Amino acid sequence: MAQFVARRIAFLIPTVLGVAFLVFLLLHLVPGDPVRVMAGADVSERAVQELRTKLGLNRPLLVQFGYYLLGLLHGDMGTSLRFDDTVTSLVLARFPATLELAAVSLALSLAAGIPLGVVAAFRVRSVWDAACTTVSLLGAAVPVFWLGILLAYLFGVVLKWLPITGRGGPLWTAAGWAHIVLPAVSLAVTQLAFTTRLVRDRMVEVLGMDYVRSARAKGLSEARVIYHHSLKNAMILIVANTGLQLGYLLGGSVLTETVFVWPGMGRLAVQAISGRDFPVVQGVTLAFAASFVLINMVVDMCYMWLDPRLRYA
Amino acid sequence: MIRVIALVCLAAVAVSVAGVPVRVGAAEPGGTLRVALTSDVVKLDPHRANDCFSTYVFDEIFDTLVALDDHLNFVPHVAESWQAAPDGTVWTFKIRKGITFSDGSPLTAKDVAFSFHRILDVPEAVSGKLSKVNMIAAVDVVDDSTVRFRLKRPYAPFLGAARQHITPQAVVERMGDEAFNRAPVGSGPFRLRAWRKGEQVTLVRNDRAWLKKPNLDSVVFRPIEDGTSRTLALLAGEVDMVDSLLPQMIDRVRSGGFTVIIKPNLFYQYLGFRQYASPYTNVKFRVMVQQAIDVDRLVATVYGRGGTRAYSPVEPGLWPRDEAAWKAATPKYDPARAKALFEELIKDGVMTKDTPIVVHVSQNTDTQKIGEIVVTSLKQIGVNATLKVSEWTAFLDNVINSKDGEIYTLGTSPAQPDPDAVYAWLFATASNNGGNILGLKAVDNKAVDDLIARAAATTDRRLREQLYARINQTVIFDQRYHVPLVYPNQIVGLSAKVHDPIPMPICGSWMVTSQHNTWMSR
Repeated sequence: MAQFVARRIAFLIPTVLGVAFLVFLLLHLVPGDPVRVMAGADVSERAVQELRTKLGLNRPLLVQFGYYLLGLLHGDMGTSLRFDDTVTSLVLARFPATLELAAVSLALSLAAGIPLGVVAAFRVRSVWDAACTTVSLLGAAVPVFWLGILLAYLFGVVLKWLPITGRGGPLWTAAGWAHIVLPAVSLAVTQLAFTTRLVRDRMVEVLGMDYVRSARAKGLSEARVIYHHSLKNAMILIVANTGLQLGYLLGGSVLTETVFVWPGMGRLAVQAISGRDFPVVQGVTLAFAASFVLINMVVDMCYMWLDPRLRYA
Repeated sequence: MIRVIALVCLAAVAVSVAGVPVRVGAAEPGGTLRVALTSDVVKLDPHRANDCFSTYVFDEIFDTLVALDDHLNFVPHVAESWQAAPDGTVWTFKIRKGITFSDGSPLTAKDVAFSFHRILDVPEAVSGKLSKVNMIAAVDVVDDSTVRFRLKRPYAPFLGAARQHITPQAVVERMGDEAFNRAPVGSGPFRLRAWRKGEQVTLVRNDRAWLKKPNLDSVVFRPIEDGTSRTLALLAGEVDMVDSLLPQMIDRVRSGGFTVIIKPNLFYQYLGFRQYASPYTNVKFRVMVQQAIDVDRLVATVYGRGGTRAYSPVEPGLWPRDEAAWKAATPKYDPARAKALFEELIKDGVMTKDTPIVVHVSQNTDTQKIGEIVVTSLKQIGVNATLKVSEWTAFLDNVINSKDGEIYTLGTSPAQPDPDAVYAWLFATASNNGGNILGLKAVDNKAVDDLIARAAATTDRRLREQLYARINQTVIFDQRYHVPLVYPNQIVGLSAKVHDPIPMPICGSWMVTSQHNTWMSR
């Protein structure tokens, strides 16, 4: 196990390096002259040159990348062009909000998706199954921002039940919970659809297995058959899916955070892109990519814990 | 009974000159005004940023040397009076006595001079404001209450340049730029309570405010980038004022009992002809393009109630304007006539039936629609027109640095409410916009350059009006460098609880001025 973890961490380094290089190239692949755009049209060409020198953009590409990497090793992702802050402090200030939103959405989608999937599987080709399938299809088809706007209009404007903008505070406060409900639900719906489908299909498969028939023949209760024998076996796939979901939720937060004015990394990315704050765009992309890679590693480790066969492979 | 109440309410509502509803009656002090802005506030130091949204906050924390009234006239503020030497190169300002910064220290002539030096003495890109004040040769502190500006050249619109925010020298020097940006100290009606970058700026009443006691206890600025979310936040009562509503939401917002103010925004969108190659350099070609496009329909289609048709670069609210004369001098939409001109151009050898005509726009919903309408209109008269869409970065790079002949569309807002800011920026060869983007450096533009310089050098308003009328005649109606399209409107949404706000037609919104003092009813 320790060896496996060490190997995975060793793999992490080239992956993050590759991502860092791609992210770094971002600034140089943008068509036109980003420095001119940063400076604005009513600033002279000389001032644009000054800014270019200040940002170190007149040095050779590889030298710039070297400095960028050196900075990264020190946890320095550069300085925001618009705010005076370092990119690291901006990203760190926003990361908890995004993680909080992703975690609550994930919890919601699992808490609703697993039972729905089990019900559908248990009553295959019944009205229940059809209903679950239809709901999950709809959930997967609805655009996140459209659903967000609809929820905000219904619960914020018409019913006035819930706040629709911003983060209310820590999750242990009432305001904190009230503010997270709508963004978390709208973000969870698509995931809910995937989870329901996945659990249903996997459970249908497992319920048809010989050992399930044996368990039933032994006279075990149906609840025990489902929870102890079937669901546990279906779990491996669900864990894998959950990891991917978390990655998706971090990325999907861009739209949801913008609609609900959630102060997370997704909205920071949107603000940075529209403000052409390239170091921040680089930083956010790198942070998203690094967390995706890390999550995948954790998922692999969970696999090993759940499925002993993998440990000896 | 209901009718009687309605009548009483109606009688109690008057409409101010600026078009903002003002309830007659006593203002109720107290309360918090929550404002949603389209983008975030990036700096709180007025000499370190030049964007519109930061300016909203600068205007509340700091005072400017001179100010603008509702009609965009310059009025005394920190300066109680001023005097220009007859040749227009020396301007002397008398500083009002008794103004203190929010930390209790007095505002003197030294702070005024220091503030201008904070723009003049640093690299241009640091403040982004150097181009507004670069005519200043020296700033002299004559005594505690007198500041004298010596200019490099006579500059009549200097009051526009003088409208800069005043920061306290002792505080800035003690704290340093970075710390001052985080904890600014000014003499304006409000002072900073808290700033969560990219999220929220909270201001509270400055009890040392000198102009008048602000009615509001506090003001909160929040960025809400998405137009729909901004509108929903207003409807849900989570903000009280929205700087910009989507035009298609106007009716929905009004029907909910909210106030919507639609007003010109000192913004001008036009179609320009880059003067680097034929046939764009040909006046007849430019007339042909103008007559091929139904500009009225273009404005209605693309902007709806979000814009007003433009006939000249001078926006409503600015001077000199002669809308009737401009309208009369503008060629009517006439595709048959445009087609005849196209055939003449072919006969004259200026272009052929297949000469590719490029319409270049930046990637944005409105400008792309404009581009599509222009291209379709040109194709309808047989011109081989193509649309070129570039991402904004590439677009700006291309129009500033390339020498491509093409038709393009851009919008612009004058840096100061003075015609010099309009014409010098758009049509002087020395400016980035006139020289590089429109490409006037490639043609003989001396006559226009001279007129612009003469108009800026005289303080005689009547003479300036005449000179600007001549410039307008030359660039718009003789040369037809632009097809003026539209003045996009600012659409402000307000809760019914907000009274006496002043959404200005330039960047910034002032809660407390000599004429206004925003308040909230409970």
